[in-house]
Amino acid sequence: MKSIRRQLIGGLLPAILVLAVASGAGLYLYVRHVLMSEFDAALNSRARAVAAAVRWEDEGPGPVSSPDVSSADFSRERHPAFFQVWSADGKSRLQSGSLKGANLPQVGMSGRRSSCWNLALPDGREGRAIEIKFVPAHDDEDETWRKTAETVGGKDMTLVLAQSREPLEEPLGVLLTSLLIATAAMAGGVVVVVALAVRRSLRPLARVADEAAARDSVLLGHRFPVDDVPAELAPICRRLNDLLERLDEAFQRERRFTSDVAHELRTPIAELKSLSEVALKWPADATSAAAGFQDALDIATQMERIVTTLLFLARGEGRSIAALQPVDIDEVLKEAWRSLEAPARARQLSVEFHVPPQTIVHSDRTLLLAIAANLLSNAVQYTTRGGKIRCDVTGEEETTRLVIGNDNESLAADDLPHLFEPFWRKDTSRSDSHHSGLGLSLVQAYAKHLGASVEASLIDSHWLEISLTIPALRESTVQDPTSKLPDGAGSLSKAPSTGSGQVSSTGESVPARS
Amino acid sequence: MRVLLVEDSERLCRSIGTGLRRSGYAVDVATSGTEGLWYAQSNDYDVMILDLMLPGLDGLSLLRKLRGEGKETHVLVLTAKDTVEDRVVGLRAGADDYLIKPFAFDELLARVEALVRRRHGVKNPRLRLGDLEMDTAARTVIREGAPIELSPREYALLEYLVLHKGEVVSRSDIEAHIYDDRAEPMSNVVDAAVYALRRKLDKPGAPSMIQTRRGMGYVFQAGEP
Repeated sequence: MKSIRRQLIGGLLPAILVLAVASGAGLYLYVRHVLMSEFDAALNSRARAVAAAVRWEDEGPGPVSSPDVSSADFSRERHPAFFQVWSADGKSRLQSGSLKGANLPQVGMSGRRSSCWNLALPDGREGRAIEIKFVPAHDDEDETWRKTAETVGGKDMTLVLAQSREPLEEPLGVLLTSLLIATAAMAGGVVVVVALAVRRSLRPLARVADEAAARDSVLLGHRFPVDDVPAELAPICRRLNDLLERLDEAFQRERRFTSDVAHELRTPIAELKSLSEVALKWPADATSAAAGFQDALDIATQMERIVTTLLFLARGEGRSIAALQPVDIDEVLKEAWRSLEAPARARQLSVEFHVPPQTIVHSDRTLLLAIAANLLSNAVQYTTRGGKIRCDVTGEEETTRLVIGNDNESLAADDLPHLFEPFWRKDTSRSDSHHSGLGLSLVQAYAKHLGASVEASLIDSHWLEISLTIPALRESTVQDPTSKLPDGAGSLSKAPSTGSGQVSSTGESVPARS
Repeated sequence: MRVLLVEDSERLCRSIGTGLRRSGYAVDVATSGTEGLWYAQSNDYDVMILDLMLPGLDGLSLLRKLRGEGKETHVLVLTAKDTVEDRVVGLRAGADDYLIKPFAFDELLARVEALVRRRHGVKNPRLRLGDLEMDTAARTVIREGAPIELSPREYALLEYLVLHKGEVVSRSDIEAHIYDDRAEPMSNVVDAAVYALRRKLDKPGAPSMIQTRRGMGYVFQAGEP
């Protein structure tokens, strides 16, 4: 599994260590270069000093002599320095006593004035040598040195001076050791510091995880703090909170729905149970037995209707059951209205239909009829007594809109989001066994199958409008003629009741599948 | 005993009403909160069975209103609301008992009986009055070891008199607690019922357990053991 901590430590540690080693090495090389330059400069000035002491000789064993330098540390027994001088003809003309007849090597300078290199000293120690060209000193008035110079091939002499590298190597060794120790210490420190820093920076993340783990079952109601978390975590917490919010809503809705279903089924079960128990306890005469059976049948039918509708709502999500064909919407509305005319008159409702003739939509007639019957039946039942119902159909290029509006004084704007929820009713008493509060849920489900959308809006807080937007003619989609609509779908309706809260049954149409 | 049933499901009203009447209760039925309140205000019920989700006026408001007016009717809340909060709210609003739908009819009956006993300050369902034994749970009456067969209404009459033993009970009290608004008692219906009850209850030659107080009513007096 990927781990941010491992990734951070794995990335940071080697990088810091490489940088430390590189800077250590750089420092070491720089110091070495400086020391070496100084050493070489000292070597050079010493070689110049030796060279300055060399003089032309008119007589004697060789062309030159150097009485001064042969004495100093060039002749001592322990750790001496060495020098040797060659004339232009390549013959060794002068050497320090410390050489004891041995020779120093030459490198040849190819035009440069001096050249330094490392070598093994004749006594076996590590040393450094410098080779320079020079002209031995002479007496200006006396021109005899020129003759001498001619006999040895020229006036230029070559001097090689070598001495121990110890004064150079010792501080370099100390430096190297210190650097190695420092780097090792730093590496250890860096490991600890990086691990601690990473752990500390990741602590808020762990806190969020701990918080989530601790809240386990009640997590849905919990919100992660956004203000006191690091800036990088805040958006994550915010998204998490959004997600929790949505989940919480869905969960609440689900719970409400389950509780509604249980409650909705509890009353008919109580009726059935009480009916059977009383009948068993006091076996009645034939007529009341028949009435009891009729009651039992009615209860069973009511429960069946609820279950069938619920199953339709639950299963209908996936596949379309619509058989699309040209449908005259005016004719559908007329059919849906036929059985509602009487109850509308009884409630003294005024009704207006504004439907352009020959409005053809490409839709499923049965589903459209069920939608229209449900919406109109709701309107008839819940319009304020003596109020108005208005039905408008408008056709546009892309869509056809069916809007059913009615006076409604019991709904508030807050109720609109619940309108399409199964079992929702403004009046919480469920006294009317003909209405289970599933009608608008069905309308929405049917609309989905038709590819249509349905919306509710409240205008001036007393005019409820439910609008169905049907897409214009299009290729028919997958058809499944075997799917069944719940029986009595049209008779299931929901909406708040009017003033008194009393729900009364109206003669709603029950569109049957043709 | 007279019971008021406030329940919006007509089917439930029918079956509960039938069961209670067969058990000897006089039952009035209201199917909305407002109607229920009116009934409860106008009569003196022994027990009231109350649904919570009612059209018009919900059960809890009805209960609070009733208690606010000082009515001490024993109330059994019968509802599909089953959460602990619902029960607590119901009991705190003044209910005496709480039963959740769906329920067993026998349990409903037993709870109604218990409320009736509470109303009359009796704990033991078996009442012994001299040589008369009465089991208000089994609804049986035994005198000197011999069971006496009574119709539900006769039983209700006896139970009412026994629960008020030693007190004079007026004819109108009896009417109000034994007959519901379905029955239309004629002027002498109580006298006729008392006469029928005496015939089944009393020993020949011995003084009657139900004595008439002229112009006032009846009083129950236990016989010698």
